Amino acid sequence: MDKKREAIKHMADMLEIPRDLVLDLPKLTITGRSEIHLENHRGIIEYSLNRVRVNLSRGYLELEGDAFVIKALLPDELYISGEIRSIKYLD
Amino acid sequence: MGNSFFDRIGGTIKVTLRGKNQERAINMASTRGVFLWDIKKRGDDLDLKVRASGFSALKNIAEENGYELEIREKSGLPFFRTVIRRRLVFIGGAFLFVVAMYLLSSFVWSVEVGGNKTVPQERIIVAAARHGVYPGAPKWTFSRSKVEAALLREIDDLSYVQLDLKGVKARIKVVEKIIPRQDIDGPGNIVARKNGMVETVLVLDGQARVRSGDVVAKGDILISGLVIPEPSPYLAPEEQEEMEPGLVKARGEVKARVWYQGYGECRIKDEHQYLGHKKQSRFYLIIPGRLLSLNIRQTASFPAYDRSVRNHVLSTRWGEVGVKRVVLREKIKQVTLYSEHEALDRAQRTAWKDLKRQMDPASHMVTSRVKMISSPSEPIIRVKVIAESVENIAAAQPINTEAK
Repeated sequence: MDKKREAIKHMADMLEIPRDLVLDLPKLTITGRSEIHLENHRGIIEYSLNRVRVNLSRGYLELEGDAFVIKALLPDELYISGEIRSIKYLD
Repeated sequence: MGNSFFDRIGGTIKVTLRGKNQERAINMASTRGVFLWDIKKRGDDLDLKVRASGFSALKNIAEENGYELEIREKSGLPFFRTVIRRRLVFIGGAFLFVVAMYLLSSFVWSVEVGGNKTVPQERIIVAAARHGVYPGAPKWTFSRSKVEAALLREIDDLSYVQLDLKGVKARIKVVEKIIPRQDIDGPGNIVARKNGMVETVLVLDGQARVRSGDVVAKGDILISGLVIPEPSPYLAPEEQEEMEPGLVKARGEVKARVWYQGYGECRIKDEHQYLGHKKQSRFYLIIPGRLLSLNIRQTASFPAYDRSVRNHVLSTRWGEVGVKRVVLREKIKQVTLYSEHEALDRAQRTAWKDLKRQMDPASHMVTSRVKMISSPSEPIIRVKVIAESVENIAAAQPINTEAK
């Protein structure tokens, strides 16, 4: 499995194709301290007002802060607003 | 995310989700293609919004997995249905109003003509009516450019026609052809325009047929375009050349004394009627086959009146419908007694007016005199004014060479 991923990664580098498209990698856009737009997520693991955990293709993303609201939830897109204090990648 | 306009059209529902591990439920909904937004934790509950179209899928998920779903708020067009049903008559009236406005404004209610000077207005209106533009005509039955073209074709004296539709008014703007004055190109005579006695003759071209002191009648040739050569006085008869008569365009000025007469009269006891201030209007409703009176009083409150009728009528397929208005204006008889002097003065004034009407404004009056022609016993004063003027009576007239 890892070998295959490695091969695809090489191919993508060679052809100069964005990796997030080929490898299904998450793409995170943070606007200021209050808005997060996440593409290629794999579902929400936990949601509360001061903690959100989102599943990714590898590991998960943990957001800590205050007053989190999931502004929109689509099959592979996520839009969260709130006061963000930390963003962590965990396995 | 999402389009709030289309959310409004389709309707949105705000729900509260209760139960354990609500994340699982929203993940399932999102993987099944149900769009969720504004997801917010409120204590143990989860508030979220879903489109009306996706609500049943969310409800199924909640039921299958033991969640409790509570509808908190419905918004958008589909949920206005109860309001609409309660106000059905009001909304129907509003709709009817719009329809009536549209229907009434899609007819021509009046036709106006402007820009014409010599072509009578009736002729243009009748021609336009023949091509579909008349009061009561539906606007969709004629095309503006076609009517314009048809009017131009039908009335030769017009060089431009513009049909404007301003609301329910049809305005026809025309420009008339200016036909160039027919100047005489070929040979021509100068003839007398009026009867008179010739004073001076000035010939620029042609041959004079009259001289000072001659009395001429209207139409007499004054300067002839037909030039008959005269023998030269400086040459001996045997040296004279034989010359053919030639045709020219006669030009020149002939001044003559012209007499004018004006007549005027005035009665010593003059009866005169004028319109008073009192007015009375009567209204009638015109419906097909009948004329309904809308008046309480049927008789006029004054003995003599002037009657004018105005109809506002729309022709429909069932006949004519409209309003007829009759306006009665009071007429007052006035009797004036003039002294002989006043009557003479008035008669003279009308006589002068009559005389001035006949005269050219440019002509120069030389002498004038007033003559009373009524006998003293008559109850009427009759006056004649005679004036004499000197003016140019020359008028060009072509010589018809083709007829010869």
